[in-house]
Amino acid sequence: MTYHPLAETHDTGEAYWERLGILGSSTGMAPIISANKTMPSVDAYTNNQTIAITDSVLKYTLTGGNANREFSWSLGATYSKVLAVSYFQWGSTMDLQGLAISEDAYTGDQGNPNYMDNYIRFMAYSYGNEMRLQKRVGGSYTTYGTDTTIYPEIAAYSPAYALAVYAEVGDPGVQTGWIKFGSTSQWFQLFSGIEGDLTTGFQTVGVGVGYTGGNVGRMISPFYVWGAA
Amino acid sequence: MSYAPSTFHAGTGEDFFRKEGFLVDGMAPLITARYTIPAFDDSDGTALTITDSVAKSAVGSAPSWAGYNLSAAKTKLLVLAYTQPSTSAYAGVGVHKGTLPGTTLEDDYQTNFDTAPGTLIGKHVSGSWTTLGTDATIYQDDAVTSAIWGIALYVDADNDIQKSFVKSGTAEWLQVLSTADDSSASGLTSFQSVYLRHGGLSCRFITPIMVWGA
Repeated sequence: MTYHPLAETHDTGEAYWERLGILGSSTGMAPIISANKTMPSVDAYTNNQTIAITDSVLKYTLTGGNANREFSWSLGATYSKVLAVSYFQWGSTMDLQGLAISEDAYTGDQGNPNYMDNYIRFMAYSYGNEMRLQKRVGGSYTTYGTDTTIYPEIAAYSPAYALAVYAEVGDPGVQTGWIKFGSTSQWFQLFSGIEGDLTTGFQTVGVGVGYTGGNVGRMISPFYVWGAA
Repeated sequence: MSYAPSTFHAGTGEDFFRKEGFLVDGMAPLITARYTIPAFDDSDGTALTITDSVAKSAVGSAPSWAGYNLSAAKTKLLVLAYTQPSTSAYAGVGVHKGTLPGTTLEDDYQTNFDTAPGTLIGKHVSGSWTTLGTDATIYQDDAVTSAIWGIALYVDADNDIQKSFVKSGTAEWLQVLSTADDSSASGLTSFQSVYLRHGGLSCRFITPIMVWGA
């Protein structure tokens, strides 16, 4: 059979991000994580969940009682701008699935509950029946924007969907979220902000996966992260 | 970046429509919106706001359209777009006999995902609507949580052909409806504009949006 590598660039949105000027040689953005086939092991995590990677899928099961859970990957350096892209499926997960870009660095077991701070997060937020772009700075959450007119259905039979979040440090900075689900349509933007609280550079990409013990969800490749110093 | 023909065709269905014999006999690209939706030439009802790859309607509920005038009248057209309806009761595409009418649609063929009958093909003649075909066994639900689907309309006025295609998930495009309205009797022998059809209520259209014609 013929190999079609560029089908994957459609899934990752690479051609789209280049067209928007977020990726491309003039931007200095280079791949940091390029998980086309196999999901990479996490670098840090809350310990009230089990995380099982089988090739292209990272399946998480929330153990114990109700509490927020997270897992994350270290970027290995500090970046002034980062674009993160991945696919998700709700399964029985309640509350949220969100992709975050954080200024902090984390390694290993981070205890219980959520540990990430100083981040911008774009998420499907079933608790609010909405999509949401938010930040957490110094432990305090601020919502940039919500959209109740579109969000993925929370069901075992719901199709996989994709989140993309982009952040630039600075005041004003840049924070943008896109989604994609259900078809071969293009990515499309839901939110764009210029909040200026994140100014020191990003070291982590992580995922928040909600609250209710016993729930299950999946993060699916492609999982891509690009960054520029 | 590299050109991505396989990807492009996957989204637009170009490979499918070519192999199925619809993109032949001089059918040439007239609108090729892969990354950014071009500004509309005219619209009516609840406005669509374009941000790169998406055109999102305002919250008001109203029978609405936004479209493009073609450089010349065409007897054959293939129009496709992707939609997420939010709570709009219908979303689809159509071909209009004359240039865009400014207000309500006058003379056209249209296909859309409709809550009540399902996927449908219909026509306006002198502003009066007639449903030509419906299929309640497959359609995009008008829900906030509905996945994005593709919808396409093919018309061949010389041969009295109107066909509706849909795409859900990453499967191939599939034909849902085929009707044989007498185009001459309806006065729909050529088309000079195309449009996106919706009912407001935060309905979205997403690229690729493509039009071929002859």
